[in-house]
Amino acid sequence: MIMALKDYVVRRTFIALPTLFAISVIVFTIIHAAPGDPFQFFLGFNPRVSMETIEFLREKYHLNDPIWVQYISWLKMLLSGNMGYSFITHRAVSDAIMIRVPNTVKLVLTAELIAILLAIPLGTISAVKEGGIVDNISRVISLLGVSMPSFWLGILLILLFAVRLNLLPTCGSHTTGMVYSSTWESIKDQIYHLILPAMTLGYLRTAYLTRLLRSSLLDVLSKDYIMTARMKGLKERVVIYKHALRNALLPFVTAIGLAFGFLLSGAVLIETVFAWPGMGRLIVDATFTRDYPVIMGTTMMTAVMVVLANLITDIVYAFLDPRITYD
Amino acid sequence: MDEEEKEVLFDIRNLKVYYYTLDGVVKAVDDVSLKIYKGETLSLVGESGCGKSTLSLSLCRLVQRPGKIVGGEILYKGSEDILKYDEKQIQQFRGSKVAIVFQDPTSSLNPVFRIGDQIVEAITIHQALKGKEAWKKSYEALSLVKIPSPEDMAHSYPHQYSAGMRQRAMIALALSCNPDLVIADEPTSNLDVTIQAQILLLLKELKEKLGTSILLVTHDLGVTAQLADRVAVMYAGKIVEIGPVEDFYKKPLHPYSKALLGAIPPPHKDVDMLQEIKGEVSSLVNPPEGCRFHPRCEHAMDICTKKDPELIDVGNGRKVACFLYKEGVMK
Ligand SMILES: Nc1ncnc2c1ncn2[C@@H]1O[C@H](COP(=O)(O)OP(=O)(O)OP(=O)(O)O)[C@@H](O)[C@H]1O
Ligand SMILES: [Mg+2]
Repeated sequence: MIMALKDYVVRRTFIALPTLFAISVIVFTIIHAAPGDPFQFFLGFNPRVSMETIEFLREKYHLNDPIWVQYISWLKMLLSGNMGYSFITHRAVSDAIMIRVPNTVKLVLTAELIAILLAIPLGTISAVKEGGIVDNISRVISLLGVSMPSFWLGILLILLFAVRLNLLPTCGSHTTGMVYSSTWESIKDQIYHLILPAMTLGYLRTAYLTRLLRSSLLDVLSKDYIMTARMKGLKERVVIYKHALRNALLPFVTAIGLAFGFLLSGAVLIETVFAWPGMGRLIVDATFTRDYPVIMGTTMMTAVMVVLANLITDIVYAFLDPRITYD
Repeated sequence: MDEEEKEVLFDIRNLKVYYYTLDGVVKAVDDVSLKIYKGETLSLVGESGCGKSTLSLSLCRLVQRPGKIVGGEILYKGSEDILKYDEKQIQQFRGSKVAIVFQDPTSSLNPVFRIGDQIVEAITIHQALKGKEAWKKSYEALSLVKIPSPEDMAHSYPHQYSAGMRQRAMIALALSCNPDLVIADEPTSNLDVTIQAQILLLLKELKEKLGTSILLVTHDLGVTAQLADRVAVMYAGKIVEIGPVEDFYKKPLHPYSKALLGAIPPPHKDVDMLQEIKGEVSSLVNPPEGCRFHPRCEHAMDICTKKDPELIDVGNGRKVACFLYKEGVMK
């Protein structure tokens, strides 16, 4: 079992490599084909910077080379373990990413955790008591969640909790310049900052996951083996939480894993609204300034995270569903 | 087949089971009275949608929304009305007194649990057995239905079984708590012909070995002939004829039974014989007035369009719901 799992992970990693390669080629091509370059954007608005200076910089950073030459030198650098340096800040891209990734992961995982913890009971009760109060309330909540733009919800929450009630901070991942008297103080401050963005993202996910679990549970509840479970004389509680939920969670787990990419892109907006120092904002900022090395680095990092999430999903799925093996 | 001597296991009296749908109330079981004796195999036959499954599920009180048992009583061993049981009592009753083998063995076992787990689960709730002992009992159940090397197979998942093996496992599950009655709801109609024969043979052997009563729900009068002691014919939510199997095949009484038997296709021709009868199956939402079969009946009389015939005793343990017999037109 462990051996099979190890083989599986190795095999899947090899399968992922061509995908990652293709992503890098596509993204590299697109960003270089897009009009403008870092120096035009950064310096072009400044009348005191001459065209010659810009041209000099383009030459210096090899931006005038054919695109495939640029790509190959980027790839070589990456394979040697270097993600390059930001055109704008001159900091190592890997450093920037390493500072940002934990923040995004923290936000995304908290949001997903909130969503899972809410969606399992809500979805279950909605399905079991179809048409009941909980079902109707959760239907409204979900409909709002699915149709509401995330940034708008974020702004509403800021208005309510931060501006009106003055309960929670509106931006950042911690209070800047604050000196904490203890680790606990620091953690508390970070949690305060996390609540609003995680709630915003988590709410959207709750909406989706609740509906998903409800419908997959309804589907499972109409299956013959549920009748068999009842026929054996099992308590209804056991029928639902053991026999039905175990099966209904299969598509749920897939949805959680596959949604990771969606979550990361959702995080881009949320991070922007809440000025959350995560990968999302790094990508947005880098895109606006055409900071090629940063765009490439963050994109590849995101792709790796998505691939990893899918791999974990498949492993968990195979663990839950005996019909799937690691072959 | 002396009725008086046999112990009555279930006495169903005036049972009514309705489905409340948007199209109206579907009277799937409408005023059915029926006795099931200890040790007998009773075959319930009738066209698709006449309420056979609904009637069988009622015996475990497993009719699901929008269905509801709206009237009647089901007396178990002459005394207790299972319709009056509370939640806990009915759960103790299910599985230990009555068990059901469903039609489709590919979907009636939970795909994420091992076969053994699913049998052990039933054994632990109904018998004072746990752990190793319960597993041992599950091996016994599997070997009873002739599953090879049950110790290994118990640890396999349903998808590792063939369809025929799954139905065997389902039968093992049903028998694992020694119920008085096993309901087999079209147990072979989703299986290949050769596998069908094997499963039927198995049921026959088990019936002789264990003396369990069997309620065999089927479309297939050939299956009935092989296995059943008595036949009950259902039409549009009602029992129209019931009696010993030999008499039924020799001389069916109800015009519907005659049509059924007359419609049997030549052997091995794969036709749904019950579809052969002329006319539409009567609606269960707005059944025709009088006898429900009268629009399709060759012998329909005036009274048949007005009054609903009751089941009348015609001797030899036979009953029929038809005015031809009440009025003495036929004997
Ligand atoms: N869940 C349900 N909702 C509404 N109507 C139902 C439901 N289940 C069954 N019925 C109706 O009740 C009637 C009897 O159904 P039932 O399944 O008992 O028939 P059956 O004799 O077992 O048919 P088959 O041979 O096809 O299995 C049918 O007319 C069917 O349409
Ligand atoms: Mg049926």
